[in-house]
Amino acid sequence: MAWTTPLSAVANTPLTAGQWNASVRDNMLETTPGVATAKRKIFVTNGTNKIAERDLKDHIVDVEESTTSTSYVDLGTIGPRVTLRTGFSALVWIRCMSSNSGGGTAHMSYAVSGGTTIAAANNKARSADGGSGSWSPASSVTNLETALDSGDEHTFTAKYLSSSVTSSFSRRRIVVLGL
Amino acid sequence: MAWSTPITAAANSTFLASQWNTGVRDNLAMTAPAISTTNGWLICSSATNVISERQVVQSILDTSATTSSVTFVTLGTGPAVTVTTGNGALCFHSANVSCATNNSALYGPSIDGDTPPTGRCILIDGDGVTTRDDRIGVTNGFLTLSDGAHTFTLQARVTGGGPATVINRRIIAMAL
Repeated sequence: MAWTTPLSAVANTPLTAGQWNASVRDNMLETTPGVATAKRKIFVTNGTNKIAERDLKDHIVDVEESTTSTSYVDLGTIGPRVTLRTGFSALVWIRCMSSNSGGGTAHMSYAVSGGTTIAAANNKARSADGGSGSWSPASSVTNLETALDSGDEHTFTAKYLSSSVTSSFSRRRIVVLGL
Repeated sequence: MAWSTPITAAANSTFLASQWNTGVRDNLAMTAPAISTTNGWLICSSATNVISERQVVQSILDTSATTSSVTFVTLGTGPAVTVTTGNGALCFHSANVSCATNNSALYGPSIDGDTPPTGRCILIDGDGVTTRDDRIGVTNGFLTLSDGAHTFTLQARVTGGGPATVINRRIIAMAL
């Protein structure tokens, strides 16, 4: 079924069952209550005369873990990570506390897998420079992914990199809103 | 057309064409699928019995830029985004920001050319010894906007000395 322009009634012209089914029944099934399936979802446009419900998901990994890798890797506890169905885009929030054993930079970014694959990158990371053992305050960054395969499930997984030292991360968060 | 309270049918009463047109046709034309024109825009209320589709838009500028200006300046394109809003928007921005001297670097969104207050900005303190280059983000709500198009432009300044350096810059506006 799909949305159709509701008919304009004309005086003294009977409304047929087919017209009712197309204009009322089928169109009502395309409205927000018609497509809602669960709690705590939002509605977005999904093309001309079409909408979809989208998820907001989060995951928390609080444990402190570290890496010396100069390319993006998982820590001992993978993630945080969430999987959800998206349209062409998704809003992604990541947040952590981090520290370095010396002069270097700790990066928390994220990779996307599933319908579309996107590597973690420094230009969308939460990065903390230097520190020599002191913890950088918890802070978040927000990114909009805009080149996803619409309608597919995607997994967003936090990844970690240290520029030249041992970098530690704790109180890690990821929140993703499908659009 | 506008939304109107749907008629309450009464037994054995004739259902007029005009009642169908206002009670069914015109009201259906105000629902979310009827107003949907594109992909990935939010469905938001915009007035009593009125909804709108609202865009979430991002601009990225990864290149490095510096300034020693003590008044806010736009470095390159900012970056900047323009979006049509109702009376609200959320703005997210992030960047590597550093200050090479014992002063502060500020980097925040100007909306329609205003001067960003300090509280709207990423603020990095320099110590004049080690230049830290953290990449962090800030979220701002703009909830008293006029309906229409608004431009959000990232701008930078220092409190003295400098220079401030910004790189890996992103701005996202979510119209509401």
